Amino acid sequence: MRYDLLYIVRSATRLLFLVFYGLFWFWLLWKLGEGMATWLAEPEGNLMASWILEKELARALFLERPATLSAYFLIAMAMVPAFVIWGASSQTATDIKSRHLRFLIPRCGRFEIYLGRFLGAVLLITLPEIVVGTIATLISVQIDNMDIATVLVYALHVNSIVIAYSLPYIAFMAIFSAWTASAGLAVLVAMSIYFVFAMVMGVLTIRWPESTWIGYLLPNALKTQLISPDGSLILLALAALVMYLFIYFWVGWYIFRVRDL
Amino acid sequence: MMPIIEIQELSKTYGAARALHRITVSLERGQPIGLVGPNGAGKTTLFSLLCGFIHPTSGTVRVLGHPPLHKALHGRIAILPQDAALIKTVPIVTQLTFLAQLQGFTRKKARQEAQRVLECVNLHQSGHKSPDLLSHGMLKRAAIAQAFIGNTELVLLDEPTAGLDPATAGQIRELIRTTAKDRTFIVSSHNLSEIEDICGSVLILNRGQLTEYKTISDLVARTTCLTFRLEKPPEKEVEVIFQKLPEVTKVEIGSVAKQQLLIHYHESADKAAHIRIMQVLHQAGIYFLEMSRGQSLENKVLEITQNK
Repeated sequence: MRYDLLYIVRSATRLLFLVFYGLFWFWLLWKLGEGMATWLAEPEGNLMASWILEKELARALFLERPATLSAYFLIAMAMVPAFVIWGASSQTATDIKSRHLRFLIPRCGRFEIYLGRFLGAVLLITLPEIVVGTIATLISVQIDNMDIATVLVYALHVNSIVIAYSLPYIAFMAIFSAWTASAGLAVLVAMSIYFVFAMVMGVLTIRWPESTWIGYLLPNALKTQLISPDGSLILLALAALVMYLFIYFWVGWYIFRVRDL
Repeated sequence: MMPIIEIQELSKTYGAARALHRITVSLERGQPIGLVGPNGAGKTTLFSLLCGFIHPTSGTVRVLGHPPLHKALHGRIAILPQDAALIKTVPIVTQLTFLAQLQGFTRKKARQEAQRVLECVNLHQSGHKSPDLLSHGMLKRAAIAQAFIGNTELVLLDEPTAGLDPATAGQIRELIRTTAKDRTFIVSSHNLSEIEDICGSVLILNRGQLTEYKTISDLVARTTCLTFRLEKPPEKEVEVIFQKLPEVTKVEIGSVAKQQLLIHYHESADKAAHIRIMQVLHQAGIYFLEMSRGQSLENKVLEITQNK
C-alpha cells in the first residue's frame, strides 16, 4: 500500500489527475465559500431548485439540511463517474503495457497484484474526496445557519455516500484497465460505454418505459435513491452498490486472471 | 531427485501463430542450462510460460513440483524478463527494496539486500536514481540485480548480457558462475560462446519445437572430435588422407563454415591420436589456423537449426 502511494505521487498521469481534481474543487469550494449555495435556502432559491429536483427533495436538501453541503453533495455525486473513470483508469493497465508486472508475478499472486492496484485506486480517489469533503464541511460550518452537530452528522452522511458511490466505478474501471492494458484506452472505452448507455437509455425509456430496469446495469441509476432523504431507500441503494462493487470487481479479476501479462 | 522443471506436451499459440509446439522435457537441478535458438524460436515464450506470465494453449508445466503461479513458488524463482520495465519515476533502490519485501524480507533487511544486489551488478552508486535517469546498460543491470534478490532456487535469465559492454558482460557471467552452486540458472542467449562458457547443458529450440537437450560436451562431441579452422576450404575427398588412421571414424567439412574440418575418432583412442591427425594434415599440405576439441557450439546449433 505504501508503495502504491509512492507510485501515485511519482506518476505523472496520476499527478495530473490530482492537480485537475484539486483545481476543479478549489474553484467550486471558493464559490461555495462565497455563499453561492446559501440562496438555495431562501424561498425563491429553493423554488428554483425545485424546478430541477423534486420539490420535496429540494426542500429536504436546502431547507432542512445545510444548503452549502447539499450543493457540494449534488455536484460531487454528478462528478463521481467522470473523475473516477479518469482517476482509476490505470490500475493494472500501465503495468501490463510496460510489463512491469513481470517483476512482481514470481513474488506474489495475480490476485494480490489486482487487489493491490484496486486498493491503490481506491486511495487515489477517496483520499482527495475526504479532503474536499472536509473543506466543504468547514465552509458549511462557517456559512450555513445550522448548529455544528447537525452539519457534522450530515457531513458524515454526505462523504460516506460519495465514497460508497465511487467504489463501484473504481471496480468498473478495473475491468477496462485489465482488458485494454492502456489507461487512455480504458478511459475512452468506459466513457463511451457510459455516455452511449445514457443516450440509449434516454431513447429507450421514452419509447419503452418498462425498459428502465436496463439502466440498473450501471450504478448511476441509483443516484436518485442515494441523494433522497428517505433512509430506507438509501440503505437499499447502498446494498445495491455493494453488489455492483462485487460484480464489477469479479469481472475485472476474471479478465486479469486469464489474460497474458 | 525431483526435476526442477517438468514440461509435458506444452503448446502456445497466438491466434494463428504457433509459438511453441508440443514440448516435452524434464530439466534437472545443477549446472546452468542454456536455452538457445534463432529469433522466434519460442525462448521468451517458454520463459513466460514457466513464470505464469502467459497461459499455455495446451499441455502442462511444473516448476519445482508446482504449476506456475502457485503460491509455493513465490520467492523461489526469479526471472530477468527480456522486455519488462521498472517504474520510471521510482528510485531503483526503492523498487528493489519493495521486491525484496515481497520475497519475505523485513523492511530493513530488504534495503540491505537491495544494496547487496546493486553491488553485485556494480550499480550501488546509482541506486538512488530513478530509471528515467539511467542508461540502457544501467537499466539492464538493475533488472539483473532484481533476479539475484534472496535465495531463489531457480533463476531464468533472458538475454542477460545483451546490450552490455564486454567488461560488464564478463562481470555478469562471473556472477552467474559464482552463484550457480546455490541455484539453477536457465540462460537464454544468442551469444553461444557465452552459453558454452557458463552452461553445462543446452536446450535448443527451433520454430517452437524442442530439437535437442544435451550436455554441451555430448552435443559438441568434445571427447571424440577435433575441429580445425583451415586456411582454405579442403578438397571434397579429404577423408582419403585419414584412411591410414583406424581411430578416425568420420571426416566432415563444416556444413556452415566451409573452411572447417571436423575429424571424429573413437572414444577409446589414446591422446596421441590428436598428434597423428595433425601429422596427417601436415603431410597432406593442409594447414590450419585454429584447432579445438569438439565442435563449436555455435556451429552445432547453426547446423541443427538450419537442417531442421
